[in-house]
Amino acid sequence: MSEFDYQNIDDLIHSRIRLAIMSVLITVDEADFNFLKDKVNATDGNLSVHLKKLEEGNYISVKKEFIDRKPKTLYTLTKIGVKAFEAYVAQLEKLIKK
Amino acid sequence: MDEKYAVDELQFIKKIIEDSKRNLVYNGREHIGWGLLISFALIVDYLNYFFGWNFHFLLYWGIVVALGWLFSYYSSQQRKKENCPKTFAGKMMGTIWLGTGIGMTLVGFVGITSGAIPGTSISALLSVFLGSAFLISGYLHSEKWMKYLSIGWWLGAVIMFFYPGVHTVFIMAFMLLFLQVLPGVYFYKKFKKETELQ
Amino acid sequence: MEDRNALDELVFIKKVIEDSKRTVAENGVGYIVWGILVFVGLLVSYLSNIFDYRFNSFLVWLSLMGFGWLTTLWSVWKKKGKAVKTFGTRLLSAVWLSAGVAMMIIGFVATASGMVRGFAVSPLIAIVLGVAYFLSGQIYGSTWVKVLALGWWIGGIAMLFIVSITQVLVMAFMMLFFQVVPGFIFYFNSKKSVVVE
Repeated sequence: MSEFDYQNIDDLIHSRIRLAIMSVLITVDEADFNFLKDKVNATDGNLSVHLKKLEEGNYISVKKEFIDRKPKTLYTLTKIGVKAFEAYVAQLEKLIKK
Repeated sequence: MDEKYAVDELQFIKKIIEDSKRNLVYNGREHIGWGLLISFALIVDYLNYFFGWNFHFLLYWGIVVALGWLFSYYSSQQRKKENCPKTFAGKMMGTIWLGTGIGMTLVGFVGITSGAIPGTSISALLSVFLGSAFLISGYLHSEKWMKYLSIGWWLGAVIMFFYPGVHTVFIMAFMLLFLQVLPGVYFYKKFKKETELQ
Repeated sequence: MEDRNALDELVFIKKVIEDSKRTVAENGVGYIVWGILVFVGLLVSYLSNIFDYRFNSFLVWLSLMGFGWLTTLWSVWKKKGKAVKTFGTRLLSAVWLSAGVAMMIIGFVATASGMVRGFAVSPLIAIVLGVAYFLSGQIYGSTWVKVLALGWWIGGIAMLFIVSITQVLVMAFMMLFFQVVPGFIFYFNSKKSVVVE
């Protein structure tokens, strides 16, 4: 295993709320805004900002649909997002094993 | 950034994952529902034979299976309304039981109507299908013992093939109770416990 | 102590990440081998009936199926430790193992007991295969594989009403078009290094 280098830490994931979002989405296929809000324990505005950042980084994809005539926004981790999360965990592993 | 930071981060990630998984616990309702419905139909089968009533099997089996499908549809609609995110495992569970349900419905209705499959072998054949479904769904559940229920179903099928007769109704009802309804009750209790914790 | 807990947490998290990946690398060889074995068995049954050859069909089927299981076990043993086992591949293995056991019970145990007559075997096997393809289609995320399930079920229903040796021919051709041909599609796709997800 190569040495830990702090420059390899992914800044996009390196934030508690975004890390929490990624951790939730790695567990489920897709989750709606309210589910994420409940698990991440953030306000609507705060959560939206962080979701937007992850979406811009192509780590998550967004889908809007109607269920029971109510609008729902669904979030999924992309393949890039899964790889990024995996790489982030690998960096943490290097730190521990250092 | 040091080791303590990494340890904290990992603890944080694990906590979030475990908390998310609480919402993914299977509620066991369909196991219970279908198990009870089919047991009821089997009892009617037995009484039909024992008392010499001449109800056509399609009458009560048709109603029971239709009710079962309606119940499954209702459960799926309820899940959509509940704050339950979609998971691959959840979709696979739905697919396993939908596919198995279609298979069993074809065998039970078309098979008997065509005359190709004798009525006395239906319980055994359905047990074969259920064994397969339990093996696969056992891989999806966090409870690994679910996989081994399949052995019970397949053994039951073999017994019913070699010892056919009206008593297979009891064997099937017994298997439904212990290998379907009781596991369903276990999952329902677990689901209730997890939802109360949230 | 803290390191030990952290390593345990790491293992847990890595498993969750692995399970989230549903990649399944399918080379189609299993589909082809089993499809050809069953096709041969059915063809032999059909020709022996047409030309009135007398032989122990139970032994022929036992040999063919025995060979099939041996090649499957050999293939699993060969891949051990080499191929990456994702959640998808484990699930797919469970689907085909359970279908295989179901078909063996129907084909050998049920017929030996006399509870299922010869002409009921093919339609029952077709229905079981329909279930297996339906589930496989979900794992692969592939609609055309799910459509194969429909083909198996429709064929199964049709065969329930064909109580003659023609049924064997129908099953043989279904095996060719709904199993061997898809197997080759998987095979050629794998050669192009496409991972089916």
